[in-house]
Amino acid sequence: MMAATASPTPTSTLSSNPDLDLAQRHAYGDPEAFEEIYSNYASMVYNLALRMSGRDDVAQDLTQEIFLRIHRHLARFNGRSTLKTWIYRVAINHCRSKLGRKRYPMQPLAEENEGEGIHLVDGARGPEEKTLARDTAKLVSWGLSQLKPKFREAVVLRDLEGLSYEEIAEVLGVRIGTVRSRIARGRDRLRIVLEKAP
Amino acid sequence: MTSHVNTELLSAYLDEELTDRENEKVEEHLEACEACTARLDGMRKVVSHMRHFERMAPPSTLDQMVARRIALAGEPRSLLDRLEDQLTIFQGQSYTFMMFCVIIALSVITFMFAHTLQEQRNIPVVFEDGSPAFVQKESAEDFSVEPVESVEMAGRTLERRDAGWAERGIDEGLRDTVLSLDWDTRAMADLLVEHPELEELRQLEGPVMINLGDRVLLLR
Repeated sequence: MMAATASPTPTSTLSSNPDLDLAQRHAYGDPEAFEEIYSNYASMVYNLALRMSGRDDVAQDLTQEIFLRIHRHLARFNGRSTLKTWIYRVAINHCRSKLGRKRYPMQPLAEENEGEGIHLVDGARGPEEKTLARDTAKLVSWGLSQLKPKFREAVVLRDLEGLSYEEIAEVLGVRIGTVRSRIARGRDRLRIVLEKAP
Repeated sequence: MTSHVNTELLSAYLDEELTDRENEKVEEHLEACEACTARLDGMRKVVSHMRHFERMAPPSTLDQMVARRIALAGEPRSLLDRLEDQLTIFQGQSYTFMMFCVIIALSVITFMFAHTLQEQRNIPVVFEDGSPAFVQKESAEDFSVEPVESVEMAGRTLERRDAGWAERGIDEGLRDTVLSLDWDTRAMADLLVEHPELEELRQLEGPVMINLGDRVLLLR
């Protein structure tokens, strides 16, 4: 994918931490390292951007910018966290700075994007289940769009991305108690929004 | 019945993030409270919806777009882009912290600027007893170099010919009113740099009194 000139990687300096190893290979100019990172995390970053912005076009732009940041700053990754949480952190911070307090009108993602040639990851479902899933997706997307960004971030990271409380605390740079509170408040507001929905 | 379980506990209960003791308390309460059970069910439904949310595959052309962005990024970048990159040191910090840092930085810059301005506006002079003071440049610039014979100041009339008040000035509470300078001092030399027109007054006999508006300058 990426066009770059590889320089020999001094294997003696590589660490036993696979994440740090990838970052070091990237720092030494190995283009395959970044390709590996893109391949492992593209879906994660794109979906996070999609849930945070609620719009496919915005999510695509955000994903490009996030990977550009990762490409620039990967050398700073020191292995104290996992690469996954580090990338989440870069992504969340970028979404914050670009989206701010904006609330984009949520598109019914699954329905519209299918027409644009984007495929659902889980294609094994039947037509009825797919319709139900789309309706739920619409409802949840709309509900998420009604949340304040800090609650949306916590709920998305927990319930859509499946991160633990500790990981979320690390990504958001807050204490676990704050994470617990934000998730609860986000979920509760989402519950009220969904219950009021027709 | 005890009070209802708060939202935070219910949510953490769903995530199995409670201590054994908290867990027991919540379950005990839920057995007897329909309202909390209904709230928990509502929240459980939300979590279930979210966890069945389908993940979207990124567009197939996205990797090419990323590659293009990275290739373009190799070209010279604007100052704004580089500044934005530097701001990544704030990653993970709250906006409140970031704003706090910005406010502190601005305060330091403002203080330093104001201090520099203040220094530029002040002209050093020395009191009779040798203690240093400053004359505000604005008033020094405004003053007339015309010597005066007397001036009303601090509720009394100060006469040029009567040198006694200047000598007694500090003791008589005129410290903030009278600035007394000898011609052959470093402070006077500094003042002459700012106001060379004062040089003409050196020829006059006796002390020269100049009205600064809020203070009196006495050159001896």
